[in-house]
Amino acid sequence: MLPAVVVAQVAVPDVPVPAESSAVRTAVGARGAVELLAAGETAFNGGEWQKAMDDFSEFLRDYGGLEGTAVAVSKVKPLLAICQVRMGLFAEALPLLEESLKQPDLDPKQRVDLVFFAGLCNLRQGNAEVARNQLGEIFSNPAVERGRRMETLILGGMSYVMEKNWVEGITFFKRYGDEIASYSPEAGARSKILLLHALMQHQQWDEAAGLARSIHANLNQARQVVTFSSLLIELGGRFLEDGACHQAISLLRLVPTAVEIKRLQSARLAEAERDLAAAMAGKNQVRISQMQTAIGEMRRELEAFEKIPQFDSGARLRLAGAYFELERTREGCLILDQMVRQMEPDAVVEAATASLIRGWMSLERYARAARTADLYVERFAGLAEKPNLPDVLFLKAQALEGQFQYQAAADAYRDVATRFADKPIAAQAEFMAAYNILQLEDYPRAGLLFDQQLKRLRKTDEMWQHVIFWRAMAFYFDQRWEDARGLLEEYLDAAKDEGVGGEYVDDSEFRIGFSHFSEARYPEAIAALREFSRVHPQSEWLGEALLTLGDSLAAEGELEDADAAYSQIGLESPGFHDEGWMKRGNLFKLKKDLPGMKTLFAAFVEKRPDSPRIAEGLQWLGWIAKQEGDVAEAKRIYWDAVRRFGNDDVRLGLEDIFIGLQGFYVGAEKLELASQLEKALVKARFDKQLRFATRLGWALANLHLTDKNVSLELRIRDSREAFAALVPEITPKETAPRILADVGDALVEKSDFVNAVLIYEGLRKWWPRAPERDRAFAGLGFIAVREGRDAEALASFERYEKSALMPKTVADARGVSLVEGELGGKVALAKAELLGKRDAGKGLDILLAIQKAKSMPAAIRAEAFMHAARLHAKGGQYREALPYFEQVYLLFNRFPALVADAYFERGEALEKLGMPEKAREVYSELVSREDLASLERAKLGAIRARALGGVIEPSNPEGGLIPPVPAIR
Amino acid sequence: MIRSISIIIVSVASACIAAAAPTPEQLQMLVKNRPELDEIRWKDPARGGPLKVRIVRATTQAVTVEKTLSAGLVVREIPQVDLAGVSFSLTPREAEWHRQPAVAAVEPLRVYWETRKATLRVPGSNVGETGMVLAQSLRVMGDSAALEEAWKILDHIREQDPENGRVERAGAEQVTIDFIRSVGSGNFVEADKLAWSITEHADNADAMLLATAFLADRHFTELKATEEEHPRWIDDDEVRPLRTRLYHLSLDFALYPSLFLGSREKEAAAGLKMAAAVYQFTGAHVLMKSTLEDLAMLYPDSEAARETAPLLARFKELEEGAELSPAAAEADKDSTPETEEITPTGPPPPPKRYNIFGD
Repeated sequence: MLPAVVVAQVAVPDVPVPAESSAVRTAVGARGAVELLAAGETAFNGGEWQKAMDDFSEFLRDYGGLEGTAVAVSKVKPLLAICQVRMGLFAEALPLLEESLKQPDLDPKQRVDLVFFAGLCNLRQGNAEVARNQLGEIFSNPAVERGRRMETLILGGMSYVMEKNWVEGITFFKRYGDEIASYSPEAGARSKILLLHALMQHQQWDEAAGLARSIHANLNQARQVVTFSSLLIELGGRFLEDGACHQAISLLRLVPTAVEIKRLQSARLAEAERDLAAAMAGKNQVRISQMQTAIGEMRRELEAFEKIPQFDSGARLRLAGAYFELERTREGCLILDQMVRQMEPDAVVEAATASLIRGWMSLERYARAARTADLYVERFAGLAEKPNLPDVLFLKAQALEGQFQYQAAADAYRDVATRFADKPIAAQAEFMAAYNILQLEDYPRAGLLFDQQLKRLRKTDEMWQHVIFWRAMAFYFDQRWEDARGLLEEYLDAAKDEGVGGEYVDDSEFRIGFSHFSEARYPEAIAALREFSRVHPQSEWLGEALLTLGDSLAAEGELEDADAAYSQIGLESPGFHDEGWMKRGNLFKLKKDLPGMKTLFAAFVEKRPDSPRIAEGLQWLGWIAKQEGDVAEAKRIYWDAVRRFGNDDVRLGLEDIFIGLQGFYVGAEKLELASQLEKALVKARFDKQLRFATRLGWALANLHLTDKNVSLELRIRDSREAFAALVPEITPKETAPRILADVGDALVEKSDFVNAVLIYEGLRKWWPRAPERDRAFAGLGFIAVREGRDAEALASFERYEKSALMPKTVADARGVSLVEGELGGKVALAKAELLGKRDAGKGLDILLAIQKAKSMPAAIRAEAFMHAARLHAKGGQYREALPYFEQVYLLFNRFPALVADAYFERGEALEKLGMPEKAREVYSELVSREDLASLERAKLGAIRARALGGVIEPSNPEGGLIPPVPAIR
Repeated sequence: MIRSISIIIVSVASACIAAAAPTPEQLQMLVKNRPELDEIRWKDPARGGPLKVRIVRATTQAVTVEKTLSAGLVVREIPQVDLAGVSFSLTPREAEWHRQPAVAAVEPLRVYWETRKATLRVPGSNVGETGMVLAQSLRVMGDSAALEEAWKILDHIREQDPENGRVERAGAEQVTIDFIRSVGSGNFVEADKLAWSITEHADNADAMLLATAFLADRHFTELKATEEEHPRWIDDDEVRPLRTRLYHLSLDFALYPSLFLGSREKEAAAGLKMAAAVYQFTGAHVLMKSTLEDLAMLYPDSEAARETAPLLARFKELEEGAELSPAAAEADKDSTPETEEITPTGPPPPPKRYNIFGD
């Protein structure tokens, strides 16, 4: 198959038109002949080939044989032949041309024209050899203008292409290519494109690839941009078929986009049209003819190109395909991504978009997958056929699920199930919708959806096993054990007898056993779990099943069998394995078999030194020694462990060993422990066991807190100093997060913010999963508060709330939810303070939530009342502040300093409200409280009371005590 | 024999121009010594057909031409009002200067531009193309004076050139220059903004290459900083989405030139080299090796391929010895999940505004 441009070049030849026909001037004779010749000449010169042909033919028919017309006939025949050539009537033109060429007095220039046309006609008639001889005659004639000679050269080469004589064609263009190019880069590009075609036909792929790259480098010189681009795609596709992906890529990446091709081709066309205009202005007939031919070719190319709507899709798909073939999913997806968005939506692009979504899913780029699915829906809305739509919507749902957006995923799955109810995918989608609701822990709703689907399914349906099992699991998670068992047993029966898939058999049997255990139906649990462990020795549930079996047996008092069950738990489930070990220890304890227990835990410490439960094992060993009255042995065991593991890398549970030591040193022995720790610390430092030294230092700091010989305040201070002293030897990467948090907190207390930030940042940086990370965020927030960086403080507190492990209170009507516990309370108080600066309402919302949160420590709640009162007072709302102050001294007598403040500040508020007598009463009550007598506020209260008229003595109605006896003095 | 000598002279002259800054006189000689290839066309047909001349100067009022007649060299000043059109034919050397923007082309192109720019509005004048290549060559030169000069030329084209296509290209070129200036000023916030805006108009190839290279580098730098700051990012729910985004965007930007402008060899090869560096940094050694193989196969002559050849050879050896670490194989899944939030969708952007990097 020839490229369109090759055929076009031959169909509309480069025909020089004689500047002026002399036929008319020589015509003589019959009536009408002159008119015919004149009309023919006019039509000929005007390029009206059909009319000229008709006139000349009529002249020859009516006057050709008449006397005196011989000269005119000899002049007309070549012109008629030219008209026929122009009209594509090559067969008809050829005899006339041959006859004309035999004329002895033929003008040499006209002879060149006629030889050229004869060559052209012979070429079209398949007489390639004859054509080449005729074209060769022109090429060899040095008198012929160079442009014409080069054109005949190209046609000569083309004759081989038309004959499909690829070898000769290739040889020809290789031989003359440079000469053609030196004449005109455009003609050179044309001959190269013909050579490329020949090489491809002759399957000289590598050489073709090299040539294609060379043509591309000078594409601005070529007029056949469309043809070349098509050849490039074909060539790239060929390499792709052969698995030569890199070669394919190197070619396909050169294919311009359709827009670019049109731009380039149109630019060439515009250039040619300018050339034509110039030629016409200059009446350069040869040039006019050449340019008319070229313009015709280019227009046909452009028209043909317009009829290939999927040109870009084809090229880009092949390129993407090459990358996918190389397993470069990212590259393939990026190409498709651009392609599907920029190209007109058609069948190819529709399929490619679906492939793209799958590609993004395989890269786990869920957001992009979901977005591409949205794009699919938008772009192909108007497409009559959307065969991939169900898959695309299903993939979108999967993408949402991949981003943990379970509700949205469930909605998307349900949409698929509803819209494509008659397709197999509907059942899967319906199941996945319910499964995603299950992920939301909304068991009743998930169960309802599973039930609805189950009603429509038969056991023979593929989805039945999935739906019934997960419906049972919805009951199971909801602790509706009997319902769960009923369905699991139904599934197991069907799997056993009715050919239903067995994917969930081991899981179901384990769940049945566990459900019995959960209901304290131990004999049933034992029977089920024993059978399970016998039948499914490889099950992933075996560890948990054996542990539950052990628990059930122990509950039934079958301690030996329980021990055997625990012992069977393999290390492939390390958590259950270690738990089993601990439970075996409990069995020994129950049996009061201390030697057995000791052997067991000694073996644990020996065999599981890396276990996070190592401290627990050691604790038991120490406990046993203590029970045996051998505290020295217990200490020895612990100290051995401390020395053995003390310098290990950070791992869970190690610090507990150091803390565990304290339990064996009572009262004054703490000093001995401190001394031993200090000695060990000196040695660890000397031995450059830095991790050990840090742990010992930390243990010492903790020990300070237990020293009952000094006041709590002093203990805290000493401990804080000891923690802070660890800073120089701490490397966060090498230090347990627990130690880092303690040290950071101590530094904040000491106002050493620089080091505190370093320590907290180290904790955050190196221990992102540590439970203590929230302490770092809180600490960073408190530092920011102290340094007046309010926005940063709020950001840190937000991160604290996100990362805190403590439970959160249920959001109240204002949407406020708090992290429970002392630290959560402190953070909430600080946030209230910060937010209250700009918007008192927001601060009060938080304070109100703290006041109402029963799970908050009393001290925090008391502070919340006090803060609320002060916030009102600060805003001049003294009346609103009064009840809050009052609540503090009525409800929180455990905190004398706060109570004294509340009394005093309430008195002040009353004074501001112009109620001096009421204020005097409040000051007097403050002064009369013995438990507050030593506080500065009480002294100030007395001053104010006296200023207002003197301290009022308390009355004592019905023998009651006023004020009430404080809970703690 | 004579022809040969001429060629040598021309070659030497060209070499001089390329090697050192030519004098104004030498540059004027460029115009004076040109063959009479330019064409002028008369408004009045009675004055004859198109005339091959040498146009040596143009003002808004007139064009000065030279023509060798039998009587010798004739110089004429032709009022622009008499002209129906002009066109400047290019010698092979001149065509070469016009083909590819290059620093060496600045001086001669500037001479042609200055002597011909007044014909910009005359039908058929192709001096706008000279102005475009000159502006691009000045942009390649890169110093602030050159950029300023380029900007002015482009302004001139945008104001005067009757060809809409070129006016659009001039606007696009100004965007490119604007971006270069922005990067040069060190104002990375502004450069980031501009770069992202360029990526939304992928049809400006030069700007796209600069913007994607810039953004690939920015994201890779930030990726490295993030991993430095958060060495255990994989365990950090707060940081992981950011790190993942940086990882994907570094690669997407780095790969863009080879995927979409693959014939721009230098930039495409540099992009592949950067992608390999991202893979190497993240421990995805198999993907790194594959990318280096792409580089070696697709751009064998590039500097990037030469520079990375030893690395590729080393990793091929490791692969042959099955020594690519399991950790690396793990990372080679290239499947760090994206977890960015999806904003509730309004209508998606129309195709033209689409940004392939829009995570």
